[in-house]
Amino acid sequence: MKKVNVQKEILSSNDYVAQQNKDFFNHINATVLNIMASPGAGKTSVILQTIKNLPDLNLLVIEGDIAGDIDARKVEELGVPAIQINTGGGCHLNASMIQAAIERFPNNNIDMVLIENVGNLICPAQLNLGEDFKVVILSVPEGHDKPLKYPIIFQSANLVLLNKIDLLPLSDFDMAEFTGYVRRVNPDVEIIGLSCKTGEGIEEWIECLKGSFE
Amino acid sequence: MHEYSITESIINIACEELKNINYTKINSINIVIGKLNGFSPECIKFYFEFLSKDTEVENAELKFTLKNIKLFCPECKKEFETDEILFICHFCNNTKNLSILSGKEFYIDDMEVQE
Repeated sequence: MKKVNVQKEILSSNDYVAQQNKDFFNHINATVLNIMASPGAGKTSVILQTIKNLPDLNLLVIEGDIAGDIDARKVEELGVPAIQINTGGGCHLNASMIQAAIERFPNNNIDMVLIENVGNLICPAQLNLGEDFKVVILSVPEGHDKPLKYPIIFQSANLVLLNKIDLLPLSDFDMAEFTGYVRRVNPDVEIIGLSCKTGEGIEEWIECLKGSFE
Repeated sequence: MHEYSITESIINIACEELKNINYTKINSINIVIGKLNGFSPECIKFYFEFLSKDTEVENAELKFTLKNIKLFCPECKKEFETDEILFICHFCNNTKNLSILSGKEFYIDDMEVQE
């Protein structure tokens, strides 16, 4: 019996491609967001609001879904190019899927790429895509305890959005508890509350995005 | 589900390594996994059984060494281990700027083969 030393990172092949993506995005000067949340938390709504509030920027959206192109069509209706990735059962996007999507970019005159990951609070957190920022969205009806139940995704976040705050008066969602739980897994992360329905908080989110360009 | 593609990576890396050595049989692939990763060893083993079929690593045993989460508190300058993915110092309750000393590992450490 002999031991063969290996010492190889298992995610190295994904990380290698993610770095290639990042190099490409840097080269064309595009800021890239990887938007992650459960199904129904409002990823697409946040993207649509972002498009409406950043009319002077050239945006591009990459949509990750198991099947269908409903979200991509909503984006295209606003005049923004959308590239649909269907994972066919896969529960997350990986760096190679983004690399393939880059091949389909209509042009490289892009200021910001918004990647909507597959709806899921578990595995999207574990694979880098070459993004600049990971944005995690939770919505009020999901409950304030989620950061403790899905700590890894909240730990990975560069920014946390709490969507559907217009529903706060109707629910038992405790904002102070939520903030405390997020801070326990990710002490310094910024949290922005917003409602894509009423528009409350959208300005703060857009200002935060603009800040990321400076 | 996400362990499927991870298991494919493990098999690819192991098969690539075996190309460079002389061996008659592979006994085990030893993997180090930090508890902050969230990957499930049981799930990886499940996928490995059928994904490894007809590859060089078929019948190899997957062995996992779990690494605890170890944090360092900059306030009281102490290290501590924790099972929870909560960033709070066990000594002084500080929650700011705790650094991760271990828990994020995920690599193939070595393989055991028969010469």
